[in-house]
Order: sequence, then structure tokens, then C-alpha cells
Amino acid sequence: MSHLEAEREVEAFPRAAVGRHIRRRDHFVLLLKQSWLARIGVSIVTIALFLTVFGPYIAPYDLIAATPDIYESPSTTHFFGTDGSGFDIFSRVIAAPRYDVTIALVATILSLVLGSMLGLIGAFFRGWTGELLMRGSDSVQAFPLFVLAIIFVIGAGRSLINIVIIIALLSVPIFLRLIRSEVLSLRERAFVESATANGSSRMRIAFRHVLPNAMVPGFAQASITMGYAIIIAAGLSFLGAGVQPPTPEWGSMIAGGANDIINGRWWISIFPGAAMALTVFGFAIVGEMIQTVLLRRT
Amino acid sequence: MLLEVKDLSIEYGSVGAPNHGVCAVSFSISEGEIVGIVGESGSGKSSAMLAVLGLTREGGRIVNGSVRFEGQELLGLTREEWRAFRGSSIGLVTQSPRAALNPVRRVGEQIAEVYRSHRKATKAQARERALELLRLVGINDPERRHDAYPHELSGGMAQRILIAIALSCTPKLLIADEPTSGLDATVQAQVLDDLRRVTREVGSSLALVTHDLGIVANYCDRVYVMESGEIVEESDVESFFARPAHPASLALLSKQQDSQDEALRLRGAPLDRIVLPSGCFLHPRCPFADQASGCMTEHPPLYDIGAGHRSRCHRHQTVRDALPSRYASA
Repeated sequence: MSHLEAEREVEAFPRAAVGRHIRRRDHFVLLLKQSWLARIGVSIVTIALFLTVFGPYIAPYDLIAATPDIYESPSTTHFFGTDGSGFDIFSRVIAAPRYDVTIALVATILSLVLGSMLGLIGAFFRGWTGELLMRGSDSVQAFPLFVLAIIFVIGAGRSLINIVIIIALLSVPIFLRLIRSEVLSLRERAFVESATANGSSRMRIAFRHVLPNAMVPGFAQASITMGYAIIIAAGLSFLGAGVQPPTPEWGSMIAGGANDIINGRWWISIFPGAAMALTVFGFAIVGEMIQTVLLRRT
Repeated sequence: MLLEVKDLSIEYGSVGAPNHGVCAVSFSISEGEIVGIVGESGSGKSSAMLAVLGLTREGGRIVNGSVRFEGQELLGLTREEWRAFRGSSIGLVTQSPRAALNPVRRVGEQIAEVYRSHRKATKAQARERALELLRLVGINDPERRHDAYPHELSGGMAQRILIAIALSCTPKLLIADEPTSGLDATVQAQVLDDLRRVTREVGSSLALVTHDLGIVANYCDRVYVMESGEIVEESDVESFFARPAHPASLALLSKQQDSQDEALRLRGAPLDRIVLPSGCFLHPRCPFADQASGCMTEHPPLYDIGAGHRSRCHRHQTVRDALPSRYASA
């Protein structure tokens, strides 16, 4: 995927502004103080994570009970209006992270773990094992992500677990390549030679010395992949291949309101769409922050 | 004899036309001794010392020779035997100290890790040992430095941490490969003083790999000069600096003294050693090379020139006399 390379070129935060001797935690706080972009990103992610846990409980209306108040425009009683079934859109928008963010989070963690392990293996066993992993990644990445996701979901059945697994598997090649290339360069670093010369075993070198260093860009990539995973999860629902209505979920809500936009009922699709876009944006910024803090080469 | 290396040869690259990195090198180090291994870059000194730990750089292989440590032959150990040997019997201090420390782990953990991978010790015991070592290598406020990351340390402090790591299991021999490259002069002296002090305190021998003859003069008991993958001169330090007997040694000395004397310099850079020159390997670059002495045709043996001083030069007599007396003061 090209989004990794693209993301690397963007430097939202000045890297040279801090000295070498600053701790990572302090650097993160410093970014928050200096940059309004950082504050926005962290706020969005915090709110998204908060809603993932508490959203359904703090929603003011019942999420899936049809009411006679259909197609009401945004007002003080229904902040984001209601849709054709009389569902309160605000309630559903803040309840949706329970599905979208959870799917994306679990899928991202799964693919980070799996991708790192395979990347490590691919770099340490460069024979046919490594070749198989790399060509497998090529094959997966040769297809448009979305098409592949739809095919797999239809093939495997539309359960929540399947959706998570498929999004995870499709993101594995990104991490595999990233970690593999990091490990390949780390293997040649002086501290690996030094550890070998002082009697560290190969397993210890791989897991205690090389992997922790390789994970640094992995974490930055994870936050960016989070955003992509949300888009895929919502996209699958939008196309009817993901979470099914009336479950509150951004993708299916956007799809549900799509035909109403030309009738002037813009609020049904716009609010869940905006919520999703903001969340993805937030994770992208936090990813960039992590990258700025962690990739500070010393 | 603590360490005895005989006829060690290392080749790099293809098997058909290998680069002869190290050619039949023999040297020995006894208990408590500080031995300098000097030579210009690419002379094979680091390769030879790494081979003592059973390691070669990418593409290298040990093709011949014997490495005996306390009488036990090392070449032929299994991977696990090597692992257990490295760090516990011989410790290595590498160059560029900050790059030799893992950037994402606290330095105390890195010391403790080596200790725990060789000794049965609890985490608390290993931490105690790490603090003790930090104190030993002369680090102030060890409690605080224990939890520091490498990027928070100065170069000199990072080098001391490396020394602490190498010493964690009190090895009999410490190999320090250019331990002071990249440090400024005052820090160099402090680190070397500390290195000498701690090896004496724990009773280890020290092999000091360097291209700086000043370090050899100040810290070593004996010296081996390497050039073109061979040992070309060996001597005790006094006799060496009184009358060095090989053109490579002279070249190192004159470089050290910023001499403009072309007659003492080797010409050009080290050659690759895929096709070795006939005769003395150094003759294409040597200002003393001479047809009549057989420099171009006959490979010189290590001539014994008295009191353990040996030189691999047909013209060692001429070379010994070539050095103006003003150099012989070091």
C-alpha cells in the first residue's frame, strides 16, 4: 500500500525543535502544548475511545426503537434529526464507535501482532520461507483492498468476527513489509553485533534487541492503519456486506440516508459521515505524533 | 598462556576467488597482560579479534587455524557452546559506543541481561550486579544512570557502559576494538585509564585494538602490528618504540607524528587481497621495497631480531636504522 510511504513524507510536526535528551513522554506533552493540530487529534481519539466504551449508555434515545417522529430535521430535541424509521441520529452516531472503532481496533492489533511476527520470520529466514511471505504479501496487495474484503466477507459469512479477521488479514502485509525492512536493517546494527559478542542467543537477539526497535515504526503505522480499518469496516456496511442495520453503525447509516439526500434530508447521511471522517482524521494525526516522537533518531 | 591463536586465516566473499582478510595469523596473550593490536584500517585486526569470539563479518569464514583459550580449542564449538563462551570468558567492547547500545532499552537492563544470560541470578541480584559494575567503571550516581536510555548519555559514559557490559561476568580476557574512536582527546584518556584500572582490578587481560600508537605506548605491555592481513611485527612496547623494525610500523609512527617525510609513508590505500602480490604482500606500497633483497619474489618470514622482537621484513636492518632518532622518543 502506498499510504505508508505517503504518510512518511508528511511532517506535520517539527522534529528538530527538541533536543536529544528529552524523554518520549515529555516530547508528547510538548507537542500537545505547541500544536493545536496535536490537541485536536488527541481530543478526537480520546472522544472516540470514550464513546466506544460509553456511547450506547449515554445516548439520549433508544437506538433501535422505531418512533413516529420520522424525517425530523436537526433541532434541540433531536440534535442531528431523525431518519425514516424515526431513529434519533445523534444517539446512533455516538453509539456507532462501539462497532466501528472496536472492529478497527481489534483488527489493527491482530494485524500488528501477526504482521510483526511474520516480518521478523521473513527477515531472519530469508530462504523460501521469507520468499513465500513476501510473494504472499504481493498477491494480497495486488488486489484493490476493498474488492478483496467484499469477496472474503461474502465467502466467509457476514459475522462480526469474520469482518474483524478479514480486515486484520488484509492489513498484515503492510506490517509485514514494514517490520521486515526494519529488522533487516537493525540486524546489521552495532548493538546486535555487540549483544552477539557478549553471548546473547539468537532468540534473545530477535525478541529482546531487534523486535522492540522494529516495533517503533510499527506503532506509528498502527494508528494510521486504525483509520483505514474504520473506513473499510464502514465501507463494507455501506455496501451491505458488513454490520447490518438497524445496528447503529456509520457505514450503514450513511447508506440508509443516501437516497434521502436529494429530497433535502441531508442530515441522515452527513452526520455519521462527518463523525467517521473526523475519527479517521484524529487517528491519522495521532499516528503522525507517535511517529514524530518515536522516530526521533538518536 | 591465556589465549593462543595459531595460523588463523579468514576469507571473505566468493569461495573461488576469496578476499584474504586474515592470512595465517598467530598471536598469544597471557594472564594479566595488556596487548595492543595496531594497524591501518583494513589490515585485518578487527577480523582477527572477532574470530577469537567465533564471529565473522558478513560473508566471512574462518578457513584455517586454531584458537585455544586456557588450553581448550575453540574453533569447532557448537553454536550453544559459543554463546555460553562469549561474554563469560571473553568480553568484547566495540567501537562507536552509542551505536553499540540498544536504543530502546535502559542501560542497566542491558548490563543485567548479559549477566543473567550466563549466570543463574534473580532480577534483583542482576540489578545489584549492574549497579556494582556501574560504580566499578567510574559512573557517578549509578542508581540514576541505571535507568537512563543510551541517548541520554555522553559518548564517554556510553563507552563505560559497554565496558561494564563486557565485564559483567568477569571474563578472563577483554577485547576492546577501537574503544575510543569518536571520543574527544580528554575523554579518551579518562576512558582508557578506567579501562586499564578495571581490568587490573578484576584481573583480566586486555587486547586493545587501535590504530593509535600513542595509546599503545601509554597503555600496552606488548604490541602486534598487522598489515595486509598478517602480523608483520611483534615486540614488547619498549623495544618497539626504541627501534621499530617494519615499514608498516614506521608508517603508523610517522602518521602519528604528522611527519611529512614521504620516505617513511606507505603509498596509497590498502589493496584488496583477492590476488596476493608475490613476495612480500606490502611491496607495491613499500618505500623500502628492493629487488635485490627479494621483496618482490620471496615472502618474508617473521625474522627474530632479538628479545622477542620479530619483524616480517627482509630489510628489517635498514628499516631499523631508517628512523631518525627524534621519533624514538615516544
